[in-house]
Amino acid sequence: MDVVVCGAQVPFVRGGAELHMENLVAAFAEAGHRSELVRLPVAWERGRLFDAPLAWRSVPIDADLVIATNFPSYFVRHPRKVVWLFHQHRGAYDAVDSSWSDFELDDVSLADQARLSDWDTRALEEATRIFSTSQVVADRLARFNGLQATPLYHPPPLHKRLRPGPFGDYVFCPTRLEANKRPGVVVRATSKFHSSTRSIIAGRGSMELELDSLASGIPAVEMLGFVSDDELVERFVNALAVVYVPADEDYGYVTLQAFYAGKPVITAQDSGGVLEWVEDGVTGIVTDGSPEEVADAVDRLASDPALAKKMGDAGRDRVRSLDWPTVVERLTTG
Amino acid sequence: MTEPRNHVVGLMVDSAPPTRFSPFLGALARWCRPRVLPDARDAVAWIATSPRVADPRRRPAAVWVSSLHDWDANKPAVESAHVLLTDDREVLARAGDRGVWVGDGVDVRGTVPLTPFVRSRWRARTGLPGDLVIHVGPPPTRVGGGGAGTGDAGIQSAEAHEAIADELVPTGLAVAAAVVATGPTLAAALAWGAPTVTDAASAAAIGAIDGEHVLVASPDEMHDVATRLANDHARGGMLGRQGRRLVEQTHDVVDAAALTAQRLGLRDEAAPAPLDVLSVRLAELWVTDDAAIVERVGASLGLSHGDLA
Amino acid sequence: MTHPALQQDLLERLRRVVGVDAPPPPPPEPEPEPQLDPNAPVVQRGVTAAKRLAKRLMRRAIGPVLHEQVTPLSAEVQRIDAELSGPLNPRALAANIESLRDEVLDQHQLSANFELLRGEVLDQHHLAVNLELLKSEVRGVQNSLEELGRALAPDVGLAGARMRFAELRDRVNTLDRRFRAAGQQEVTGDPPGPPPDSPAGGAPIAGFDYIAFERRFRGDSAEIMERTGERYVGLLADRGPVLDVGCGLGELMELLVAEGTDVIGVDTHEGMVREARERGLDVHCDDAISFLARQAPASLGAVVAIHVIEHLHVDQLVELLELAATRLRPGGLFVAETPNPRALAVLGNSYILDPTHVWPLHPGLVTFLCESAGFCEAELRYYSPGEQLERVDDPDAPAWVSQLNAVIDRINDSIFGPQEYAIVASTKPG
Repeated sequence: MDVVVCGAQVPFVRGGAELHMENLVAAFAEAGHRSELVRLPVAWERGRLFDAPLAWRSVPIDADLVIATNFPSYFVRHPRKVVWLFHQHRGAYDAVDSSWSDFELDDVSLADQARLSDWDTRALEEATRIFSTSQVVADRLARFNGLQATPLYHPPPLHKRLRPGPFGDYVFCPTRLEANKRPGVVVRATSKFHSSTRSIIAGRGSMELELDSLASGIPAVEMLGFVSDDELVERFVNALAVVYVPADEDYGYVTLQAFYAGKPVITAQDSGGVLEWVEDGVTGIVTDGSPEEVADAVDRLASDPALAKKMGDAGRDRVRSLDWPTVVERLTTG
Repeated sequence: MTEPRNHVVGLMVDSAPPTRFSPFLGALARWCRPRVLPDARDAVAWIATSPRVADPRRRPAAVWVSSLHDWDANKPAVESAHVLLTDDREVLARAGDRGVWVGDGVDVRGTVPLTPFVRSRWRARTGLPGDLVIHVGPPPTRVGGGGAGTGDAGIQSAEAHEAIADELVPTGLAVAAAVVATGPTLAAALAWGAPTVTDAASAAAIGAIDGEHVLVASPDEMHDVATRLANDHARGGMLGRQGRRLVEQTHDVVDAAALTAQRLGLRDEAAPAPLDVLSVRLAELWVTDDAAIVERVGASLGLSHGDLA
Repeated sequence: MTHPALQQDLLERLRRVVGVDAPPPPPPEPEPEPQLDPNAPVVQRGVTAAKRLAKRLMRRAIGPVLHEQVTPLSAEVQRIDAELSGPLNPRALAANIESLRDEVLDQHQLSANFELLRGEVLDQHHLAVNLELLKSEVRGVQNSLEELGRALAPDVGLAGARMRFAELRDRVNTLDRRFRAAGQQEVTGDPPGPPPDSPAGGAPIAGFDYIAFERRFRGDSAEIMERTGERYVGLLADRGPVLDVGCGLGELMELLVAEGTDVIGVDTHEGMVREARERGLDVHCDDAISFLARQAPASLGAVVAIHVIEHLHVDQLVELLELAATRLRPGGLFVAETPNPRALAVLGNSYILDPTHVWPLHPGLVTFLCESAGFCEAELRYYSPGEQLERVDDPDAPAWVSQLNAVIDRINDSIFGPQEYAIVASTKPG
């Protein structure tokens, strides 16, 4: 059948969301459907927040099935609209107190927040089914909009190329260098390693300079910057473990990629979606997020590689059932 | 909305029209031009706020009947009426096909549903407690004395138990974490999207279902159930959302006006003008403060406000 | 936009009923504010408080504009910073407050004055005497005024002095003109005329696309026409025949034609003249001075020039005015609208924007020129007030806020005054 996937567009930016939507369109095509991606630009400042939702309300889409993914694409009107919610406009909800959110406690902010909540709710209610990318996203939807969503998990990028390998002498942390990913914790933890384990951090972002200077005094830290897919896979395959401690992550590709490579994941108790996969002592170690505890966890695994392998195997088991055909099937029959 | 509004509708108004009449007339004005006319010229239809002032010779007419007593006292006017408007269930039952339900005195389009999260923001800004529970409506009869409140509205958090003035009730319904509402106040609480606890009789009266639109509890348990609900945003959010949809379907004055307009032959079958599409989209999203958002839309489309009106 | 049930006063009352004692936390400010240190010297505190107030002021004044703009957050912050180092420079404010404080709040002087005042007020006898003295002073002033009136207009007195003075001025200016004309003829033998290479009506500048320029900067023409109509149609409608100098596409002419007034237009732009004529308007492609010279004396009821005179050299303007004065009937009107350079925001922005503007025309200068040219009366009308900075109108504000407000008033007056003005000059009534 004809399937149109709808998503928000941030011109000139290409990130995880774009990759995810493209993979979804490809997955539909593989399953024998005709599929297209339709995106409209979005603005998030309060003064223009409702422009893109209204634009979506006027867009005529002729297709058998429409999959809406993130804010504000789920405002699209179609008799058979299935929502697979990546996330809403977090600045109005769970991230309202962060520095980048422009929602305050004045009358206009609160009125905008009430209107956005109401419009989000009504737009999402129109869907024949609401899925979410994780339980974390579903919980947020319930708390903020009173709607139920069913988690529908999908494979991370590179899942077909990741494979188990030897347990080396470093822990790997591939992540964007932004405040909400908390890469500083990994750097600081490395200075507290008692073992001779190294930390390898891959990725770019606004905290790059800050972390470079922080890491300059810690020889065990290696900052790779941007890495190619090939190198990324190699680093996963040969790591002792993966350290990933973001704040309230929606989903967390890194966790799944680590599991595909058969590596345990060291994470924090407030890392959000990561905790739907990492079970303390089974597939990884859940710390309190402090550099000290992260260092302890790394030392534990360094001194017991057999444990690391056991947890890594359990992780690989956890992701065995993830595949795109299942996603397509749930979205088309749900 | 730019459907043609050429029909003049005559109004027969008494000195104390029902409170619901004003929003109803406002909604009806979408399809006609209501006027008070001393004689019968020009009007294509008539509306009377009470059978006492209705003239049986003026047809077709919609007559507002407040009670069965009202009906019996003014039979000729009621019998000849084309449409009977009412907010009394017994009148509605007797009116049968001619009846149009105009709701329980709740102005659904004039209230804004607020989710638990937005409510918590309002409470944070004002300095109100996070688990604020408000009681509205007549105290349900309890065994063993001691009611939720001796007045019509009260507030209970863990310590305080005060009566609040009538004009503060909407504010309370808007920002409370949970509401205990009985009798006719239940529809108002649901219109605000408030997570609500009520008794079985009040729920049945408006068709609210336990666990879907409200939580039903016995008078002794109501406050405790409400306090627990106040701390459960997911459940409160779901009930609040569904409760609001219920009153949108059953109490919206615009639906009543549309039905009345249709029955009085005021609605032409012409298709809406192209620029109405945007107005229709906004109406689907229950936008009521048209001026602000319509101006914004007009500005972003490069159309002036007049084009969208 | 906020629902009536969520008004601040209702929320306050609810909070009080619930019995929460602590005052509600204030809504957080989006930027961090400099803190007031209670141990800091008074002037320092004043500076900090002034900074805070100035920031809020600027935010309120430029807030609506910023809200609409599509600038990223960092650019907005930079703009606020730039504005803060402008007229409301906290250092300048602090200096003002310091010096004013020295003068006004000198405790010793104040109490001494107070003692004196008290002594005077309580002395009833002195009061009565002072009152009598005042009365005789007022009588003296009145007498002086009457004398002045008699001197100016012996038969009519002070009431007619205005008219008489205008007449006198008119006669002096006429004499002056004749003298000048006679003097120039002697020297050159030719009657004075416009410089041959700059036709009155604005010299085109080589390489400058005026049409494109106007299209970009002129603004909404429908809106402009509405305003122009409101200002002048009433004045001109009964004063046909009207000559519209620099009439462009003839929009003002059309408004007057609709009132049944006889209108002729003249403009140097061929394209616009052609278009206007196609719409049935009586428009001539010519420069204003030549055209006016060919009109019969005392044949016109009014001459109107909207945003024209700032495109003329001063000598061209003088000639235009003198010609107009002779071609108008008695009681005829000359109306010209031009940008007001006294409002510095205009001078520094919209005035210099247009390279075909020749010289900023101060209202005083234009008035003088009209009077010299032979008009017996000239009246100024100011339009389009600039967007004023907001004063601080807080009844609980400290006393020095009045000084701040005085500064704001001065800035409003000198920078954001009326952006254009019209001069309405009339010839002697018949």
